[in-house]
Amino acid sequence: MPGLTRASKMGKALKLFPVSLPALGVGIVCCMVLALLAGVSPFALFDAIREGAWGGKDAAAATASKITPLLLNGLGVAMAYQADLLNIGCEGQMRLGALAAATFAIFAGGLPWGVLLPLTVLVGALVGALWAFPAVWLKQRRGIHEVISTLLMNYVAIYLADYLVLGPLGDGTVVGRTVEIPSGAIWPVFWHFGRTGITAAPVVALLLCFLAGIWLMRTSWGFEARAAGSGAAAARAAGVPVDRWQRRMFILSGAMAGLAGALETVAVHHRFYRAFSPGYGFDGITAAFLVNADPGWLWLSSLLLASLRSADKWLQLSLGISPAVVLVIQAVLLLAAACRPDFRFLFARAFFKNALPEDGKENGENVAKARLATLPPDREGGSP
Amino acid sequence: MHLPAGNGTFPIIAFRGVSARFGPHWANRDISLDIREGEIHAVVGENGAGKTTLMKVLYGHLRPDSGEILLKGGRVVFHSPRDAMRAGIGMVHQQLLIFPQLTALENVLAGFGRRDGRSGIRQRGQAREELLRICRLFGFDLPLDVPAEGLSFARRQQIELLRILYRRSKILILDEPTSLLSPLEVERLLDLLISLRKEGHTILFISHRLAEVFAVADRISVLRRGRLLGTFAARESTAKEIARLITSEEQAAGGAALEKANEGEGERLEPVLLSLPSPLLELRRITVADSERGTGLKDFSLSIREGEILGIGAVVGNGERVLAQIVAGMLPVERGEIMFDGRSIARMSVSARLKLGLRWLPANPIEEALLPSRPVWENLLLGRQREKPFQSLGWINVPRVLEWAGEQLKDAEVVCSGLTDPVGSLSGGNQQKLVLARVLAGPPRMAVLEQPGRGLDIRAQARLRQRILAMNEKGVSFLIISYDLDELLAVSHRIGIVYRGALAGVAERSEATRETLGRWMLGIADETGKRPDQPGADADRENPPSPEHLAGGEGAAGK
Amino acid sequence: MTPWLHLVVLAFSKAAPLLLASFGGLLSEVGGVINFSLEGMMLIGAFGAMWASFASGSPWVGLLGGALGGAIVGMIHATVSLKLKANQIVSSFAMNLMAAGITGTLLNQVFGIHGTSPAVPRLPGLAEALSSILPRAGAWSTVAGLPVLAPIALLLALCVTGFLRWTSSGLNLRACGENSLAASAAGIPVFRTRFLAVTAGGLLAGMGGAYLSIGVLSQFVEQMTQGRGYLAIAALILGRWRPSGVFAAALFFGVTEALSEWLAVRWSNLPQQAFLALPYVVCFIVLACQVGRTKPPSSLGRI
Repeated sequence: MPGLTRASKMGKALKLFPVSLPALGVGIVCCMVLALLAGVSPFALFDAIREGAWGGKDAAAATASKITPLLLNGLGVAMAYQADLLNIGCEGQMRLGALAAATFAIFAGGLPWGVLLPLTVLVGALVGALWAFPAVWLKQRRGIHEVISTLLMNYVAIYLADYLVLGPLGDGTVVGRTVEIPSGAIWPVFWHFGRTGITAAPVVALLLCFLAGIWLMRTSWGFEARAAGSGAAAARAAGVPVDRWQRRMFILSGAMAGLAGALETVAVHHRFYRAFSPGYGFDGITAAFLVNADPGWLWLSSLLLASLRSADKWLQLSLGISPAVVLVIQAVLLLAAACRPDFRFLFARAFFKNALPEDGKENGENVAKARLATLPPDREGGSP
Repeated sequence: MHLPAGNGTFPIIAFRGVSARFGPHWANRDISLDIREGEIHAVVGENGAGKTTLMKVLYGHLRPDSGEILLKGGRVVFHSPRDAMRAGIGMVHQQLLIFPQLTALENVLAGFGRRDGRSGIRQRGQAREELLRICRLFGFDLPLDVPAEGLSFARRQQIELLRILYRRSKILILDEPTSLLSPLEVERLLDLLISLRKEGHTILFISHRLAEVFAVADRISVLRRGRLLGTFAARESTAKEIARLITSEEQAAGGAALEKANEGEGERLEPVLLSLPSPLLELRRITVADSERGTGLKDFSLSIREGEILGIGAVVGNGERVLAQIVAGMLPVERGEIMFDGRSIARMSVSARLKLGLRWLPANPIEEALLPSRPVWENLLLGRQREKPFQSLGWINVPRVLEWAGEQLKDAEVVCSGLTDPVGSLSGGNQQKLVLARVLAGPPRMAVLEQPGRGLDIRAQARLRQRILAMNEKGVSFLIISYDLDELLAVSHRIGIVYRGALAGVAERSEATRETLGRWMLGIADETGKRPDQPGADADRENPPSPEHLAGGEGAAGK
Repeated sequence: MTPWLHLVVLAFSKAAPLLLASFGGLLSEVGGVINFSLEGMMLIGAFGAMWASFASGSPWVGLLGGALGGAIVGMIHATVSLKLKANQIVSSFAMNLMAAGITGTLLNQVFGIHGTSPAVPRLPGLAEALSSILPRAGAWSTVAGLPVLAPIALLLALCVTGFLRWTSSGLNLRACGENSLAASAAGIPVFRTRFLAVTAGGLLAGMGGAYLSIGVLSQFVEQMTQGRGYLAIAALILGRWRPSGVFAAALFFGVTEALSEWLAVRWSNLPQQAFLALPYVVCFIVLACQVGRTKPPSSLGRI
């Protein structure tokens, strides 16, 4: 059947990109429509974003340095998701990681640079990991969905950090910040670009991302971690220690978020600011799901989100629209990316009924396959 | 219009040239078939012949790619099961469609009531009366207010039957209703079908078990590879003839052996003892508590010698699954000991047991053994990802894995378009073959197989049995757990039956008869006949047992 | 006596939006659709209520506007999750993001400001609504200060309970949440049923948001929901997806919030953040201390 071959060929090509390209296309069109509704031409909008994010040395440097926290938070969410867990608490883990890093650096200030900097960063990652652990523990012991526990812990983390920085760990002002960290903990600027310059932090983040991707896809440990996420029962039956891998991936996820916070402290602000994060933790979730938690493509979504974040004030200045528009764009793209790449089913339906290359279809929809998402064990079966 | 042959009874349902396709695969090809009013019409064929597809077309689950369906002479098009229900057709599905946390009463009332009536608070009282009446009439022992997930398989099937009877469906479709019932429950179901026919219902009965078919059917239609071979009066044919029709295409490729396989015979076996008669696998007084997963085991003891094939049969929910899971290492043992090759393995992890050569095929491969979204080759690698040829220092040698995977698939005759396709896209039979290939590769020291023949067509089942026997000759031991006594009788050296978490009996194959095994499956002791506290064994048709009695008897079974 | 009455009334007032939101979520989840977007529904409800009240001058129109806003979010979530087969948690999260973005944008576009909207007509208190019936004196004045939406919330919760337990549509909805395949085989229009349930749920959650903006205050503040939508979900889990349990859990969280506010005034020497965080901490602890595993509707989250 010619129609079928076309559909399946197209399907195979589309599989290269982790989310459905047609869906994303629709999402972009929706954004354009929304722009028109707001009285702005989509092209002007795109231009303003480009301008605001990359239109000058200062802007470009700022955008580039934003990539670090976005990438790391996204990587954290992605790693947890590979084990079928959702870490929504990156914001809190990151903030506590940043605060912990600043505090440690200040208190251990005497250490030389070669020692203090890595330790500081590690402390941040550790605190992030610790803050993530209770959620996975609750899930395994009590069956509480980790989304709720991480969300609740988020709020607690934000209030905790606030209290600490306005109180005992702060510099005494009402701004809500610590004192500056000692020079031994400062990540030096790598490239003097504009007024602030960029450190090597984004490169390190990209490298981590790349390594994580390789580890997941090509090593037997990564294989086990992914198996634990895509079929816990089957993985257990094959001897994979599923619970252990879930804990490991979730703790790693928290560590990534904590690392993001620590890097913000040592590389960008050189202290902990109460308001240092415009929501990087939540953006990490968007970054991860825009590419279906595939570490190999995180760089693209982080780039996009960094640009959006950087440009939001410029959007207000040049086009007169609220910076919150950026959130709307993110949301629309995220919705589009979340749709399973089953658009080809809709096309195929137009050509012929019931006909799809896989078995078990009911009225054109893959009910059997959709049920495979997570099924309870011990179902009765006869022959299928 | 097609004039029916025979006694001129008007066909209540007629299929005219119905074809249904899934992609390139034709599940039904040009089927024209008449169903007469008031008859029990059996549709037989092996797995994959298209029986279920045809019924799904009739019931509105699927739309045919060509052809039409006539109901009482008039053309009908069903867009969904709702239309079919409105037309008076009801279906009891093979994989029961029930709502686990709703009570039996709610299960029946959910959806559109009789004549699209409401099921609000006033109607529920009336509905309850009506349901109790139907239960009494047909001898259902179903407690109406227990959540369905706590009921046994047979009771849940009764819920589906009740649902279609309550809606006054005149045409009933039953898809493989007996595959998970014990012999006595099968008898009761067949008696029920005869009663229903007396009441004027028309029944379409799908089965691959010819003995049952011949017990009740008026006419039999044979499907093979999507085509209708013919419709025959039951009185005028024999099981042998029908069996030959079902599988005759494979005549050239050793059809004689396949026929035998279909009839439940196999090659004559002699136990091959390669080493000391001391047991390879020994379970000593194992106790596992009842749980959501089913009845546990109580003081259970079993031993399997090296080179032996032990078959375990049971009715669903009597601890047979728990048995497999504790041997595999998926469930912890509360009390008792498991010895494998002289070592205590009760505390060993699954991976340690795999290293010892103890492998397990779960009952539900999709949920319990496969990663549906991952490609075929990764599914084959699962469990072996740390073995030497496939990885070194953690780095997976993908070309090597792909090569090995390709070989395994070819050996197992798995049909798939590519090693990188997601395994969820394979048909059920191919998935079963894949998991079997994975479990039996190695080869293992001992394989615990749950329902190994499930989803396989006759030919594949025969090949599987040959493979098991061949491996056994080389010294591999097997523990095969199945609900299909034929499967067990075909390959086992000894057969045991699990009832309510205890071993009800074990017999050498030469002494094991279906009657004996059937009695054990229901806990009926050999000497004294029926025991007084066995609900369901001898249910009085007029007075169904009270719900509390039943809930206590079959509580957590069937999960 | 009076301080206790104050506390009770305050608790009830705090619980009311949670009640609305969690019962809205119950409708959705009992039908099998995961709904983490209660937060977004409440936020849009709050904004919509403020805007409608501003535009029309009547707070009742505002209430309607809030309900409508929540319903729209519900419709989008249902369509994306059910028709387009999106991951329901990610879709919920996207809706929350969208709500934050849209409310911020519209606040800026329509009113030209950031952060807080201008004052708008608010819903009357119980006293004004029932001024002819209720006596004014004594203890009643405390109760009379309750927004009229609070007892309405109670009533709606009872309606949802009755709907689920006694009506055939309620039974059909529960069936969809137990086994969607069986439900469609039983003749239930699964998509339509779930769609309506999620929309109705959004309607309730939107009203919960309206309570926050024009019930208690008379304006909209950015991010004013402050995680209440997630507390509502926690109420669902704690209540084991049964109306009686959810009711109790929502009331409990209301008490916690009221207690935090009350204590914040009494014990002002302690850091303010401790009281802000208290409801979340308590919620977390209660969740952690549950006995036994939670069991959601059997088909929750699956198509």
